Amino acid sequence: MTTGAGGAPAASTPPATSTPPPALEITGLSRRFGGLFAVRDVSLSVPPGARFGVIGPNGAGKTTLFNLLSGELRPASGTVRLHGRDVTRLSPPRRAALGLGRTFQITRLFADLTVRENLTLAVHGLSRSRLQMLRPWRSYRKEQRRAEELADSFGLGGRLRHKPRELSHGELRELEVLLALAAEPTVLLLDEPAAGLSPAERVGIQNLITRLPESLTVVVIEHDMNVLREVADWLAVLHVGQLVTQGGTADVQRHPAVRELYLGSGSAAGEAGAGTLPTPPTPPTTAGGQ
Amino acid sequence: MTEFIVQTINGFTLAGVIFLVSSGFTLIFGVMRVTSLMHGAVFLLGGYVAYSVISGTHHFFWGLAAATVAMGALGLLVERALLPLLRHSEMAELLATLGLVYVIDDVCLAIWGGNPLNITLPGVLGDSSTLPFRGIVYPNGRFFILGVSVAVAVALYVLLHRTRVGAIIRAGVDDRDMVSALGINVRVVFSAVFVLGTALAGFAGVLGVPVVGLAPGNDTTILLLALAVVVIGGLGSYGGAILGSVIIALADTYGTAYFPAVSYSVLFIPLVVVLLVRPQGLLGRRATV
Amino acid sequence: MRRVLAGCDLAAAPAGGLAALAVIMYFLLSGTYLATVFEDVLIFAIAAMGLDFLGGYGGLVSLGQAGFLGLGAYGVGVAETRGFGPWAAVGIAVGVVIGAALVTGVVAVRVSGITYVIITLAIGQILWGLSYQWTSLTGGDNGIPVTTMPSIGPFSLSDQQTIRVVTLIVFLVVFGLLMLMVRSPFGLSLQGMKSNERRLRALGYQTAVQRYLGYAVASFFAGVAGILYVFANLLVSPSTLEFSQDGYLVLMVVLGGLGTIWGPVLGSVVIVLFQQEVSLYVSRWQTLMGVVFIAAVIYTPDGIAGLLKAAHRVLHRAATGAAEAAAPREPAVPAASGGEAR
Repeated sequence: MTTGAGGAPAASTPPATSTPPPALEITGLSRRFGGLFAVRDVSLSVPPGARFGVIGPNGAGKTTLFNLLSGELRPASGTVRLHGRDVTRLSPPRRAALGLGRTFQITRLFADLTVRENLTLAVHGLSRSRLQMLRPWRSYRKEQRRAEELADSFGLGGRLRHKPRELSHGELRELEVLLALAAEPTVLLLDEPAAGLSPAERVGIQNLITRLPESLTVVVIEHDMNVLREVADWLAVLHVGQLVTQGGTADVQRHPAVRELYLGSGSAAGEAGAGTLPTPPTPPTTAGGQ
Repeated sequence: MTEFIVQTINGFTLAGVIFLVSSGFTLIFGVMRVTSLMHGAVFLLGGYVAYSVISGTHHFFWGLAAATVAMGALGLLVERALLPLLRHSEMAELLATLGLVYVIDDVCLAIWGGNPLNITLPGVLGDSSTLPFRGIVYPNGRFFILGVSVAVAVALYVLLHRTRVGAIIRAGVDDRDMVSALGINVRVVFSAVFVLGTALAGFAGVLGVPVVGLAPGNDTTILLLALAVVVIGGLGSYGGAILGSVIIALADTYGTAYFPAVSYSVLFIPLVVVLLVRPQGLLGRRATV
Repeated sequence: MRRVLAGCDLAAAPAGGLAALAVIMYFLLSGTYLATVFEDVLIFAIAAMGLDFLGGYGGLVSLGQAGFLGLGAYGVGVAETRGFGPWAAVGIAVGVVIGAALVTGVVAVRVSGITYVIITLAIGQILWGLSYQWTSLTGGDNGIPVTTMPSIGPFSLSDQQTIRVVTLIVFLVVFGLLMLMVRSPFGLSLQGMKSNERRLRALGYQTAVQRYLGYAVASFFAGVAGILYVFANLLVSPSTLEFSQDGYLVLMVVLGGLGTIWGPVLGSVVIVLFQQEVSLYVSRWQTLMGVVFIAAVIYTPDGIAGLLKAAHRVLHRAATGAAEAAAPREPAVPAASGGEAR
């Protein structure tokens, strides 16, 4: 069937001058560790405002892909473009300055600092004030208000004085997302946001993601199809570092190769979806996933 | 030119001594992530212990053996009694070894005083020979030291690369958790590595006396040279210790001979260059710094 | 009742600080032998606080601060031997310290963790080596005596009391500056760097720049301490930059309390007292000091500051009483070595 190597979507969208470049575009991206390809020749194009999901079993190379996208790893080959600009050689802080935000699969917060301090750091991240040495950060009213608003908007308003170890796991994952949002990114990479959450907590994260601004392009990694079903309208499937297929969420779910990966059974009855890979959709006009 | 040859041999001799100290240090760091700042002090103490034993027994090799064993025992004591109390915080371990430096230095001062001491090598080793090359007269002892250093280096290499124990140690440098997950008794490996490292430093301390002398303050000098070596060679890299030792020792020797006014500082040029060009060390792996 | 206690909470630290300050001032201005001791305490405290700014808050412990202290001192000494007036010498010293910090910083910021400790140690030792070997400039082992003291208006620093007051003023200014700096966005970013550098970078922070600036600040303060040192002691020699001096500064910070500004001050008191008082009674004072330090690292990794804070918490809880319902939402005892443990 179609377990082909990762292919680029057939013919990029027609070059109309008014069409903005893809928010995120990778071509032929590869990364090896020793002799092993963690990511192999992956090409994806994420239109602005998309809710793009990347799914695959553990070890499929998803987190490596994200690390390549955010700049923590250098690819062996291939390019990464952010809003049309080649960022392959740029470090993570530089990419952040260009609008890229990300969360981490293993919660990476500032464990010794309070929630307020965590958010303060995030808010000052891309402003000149971060090098200010002679003025207390508490005196920055506007930034503090923004931190408070962020916390409030996602239910952490009462936890500002607490440290991460006092928060529940669900709250920690939310804070992860909030930190990334504080810098007002244009492209947000969410690395397994629902990892380790109970079904109830998962709903909270899903709501958070669906409430994200439409102008924000969101790429989500998950190995849990349930979460992606709610938040993503386009899925790319990775397996052993290669792109297996991509398409609209419903289509991909029915794709035989995907079912084989996830359900293991040889669901031979070929449902629609085999054959050529479709092009990514134009930015959805309605919010959220279907 | 003659001078240059002599200095070069001197340099290699020094390289041998430094290598012995830094190989122990780098193994301890590589396997246990412990920064043993006391290695210089162990070097010094080893020299002093040998001095006393030699003064008493008039046998150089008894002194050498005693120093090596004593420093190994000290290493065992520290590793078993002190390190477990430090909850595996790297910074705490470093600080504790720093504290030990003050203790060891002070004890040495108390027992052996502040004047430089000397150890003469026995018999023919204490003499000089005329080299067939340009008629250079050179102390045999230094050849002996160089030879012993090389022999130990080879022995260590064989240990690390040709024995099961060595494979475990190298695996431990690569991935400590994995080694323990494989069911190998990590505690024993750690103790063995630490003892080996301190024993090496004590051994080097005896051999080093004809080269750098035996006086308070040497511990800092040697420590610094060893640290420079491991940074240049790469923390945890055995081959790096060899390469770094040669570079640093030659830099130090040539520097002292030709630029005495700034020799100590010239020594650090290789350090700076490596840090700017390849911060993880020449043979170091690109770790997440 | 709780409001009163909360008020006491807020007042405790400044009250304690004022009390300590009063004690220090008393001894400093008493004109007795202890005055010299406390003078040294303040001078080294300045260097130690700077070290803590980068080490305690930023996680980059430098074992080379004595080098910059010595550089500041030598800057004055060498300038004066070359005929510069005392204030010009001070200016030159400051310039040299900043220049050296900016140059060596380029190398130092490429590494972190243990390698950083090693590199800063190396830098400190390079400076020591220069002081020892560059005899034409520094007079080698003999050092440089400094005889011409600056004057501020009618006050000349050659007067003992004047220099002590000046030292105190500089100390207070540095203390105030650092208190402000740790509460600034930059200071917070240093803490973020220590806590989770990867995350910080993902948020857009250029951590290399932070390290560079932090290093420059710490070195600058060490240099300031050095300038005061040479006027107070009238002499600078290579022994000022010895490795043991680097070690003493680290000992001060750790004993006093990494991650606080007033901790290193307490640490300075302890270490200087060991050096100058204990040494009179116990010839093996260094051994004792080493043992005490090791014990502190094992049992009170947050130093004296940590002990005081814990004691304060205990007293607070005892006062509020078990009956008082909602206990403060804090962990009972600080977890392992203040944030350093993995």
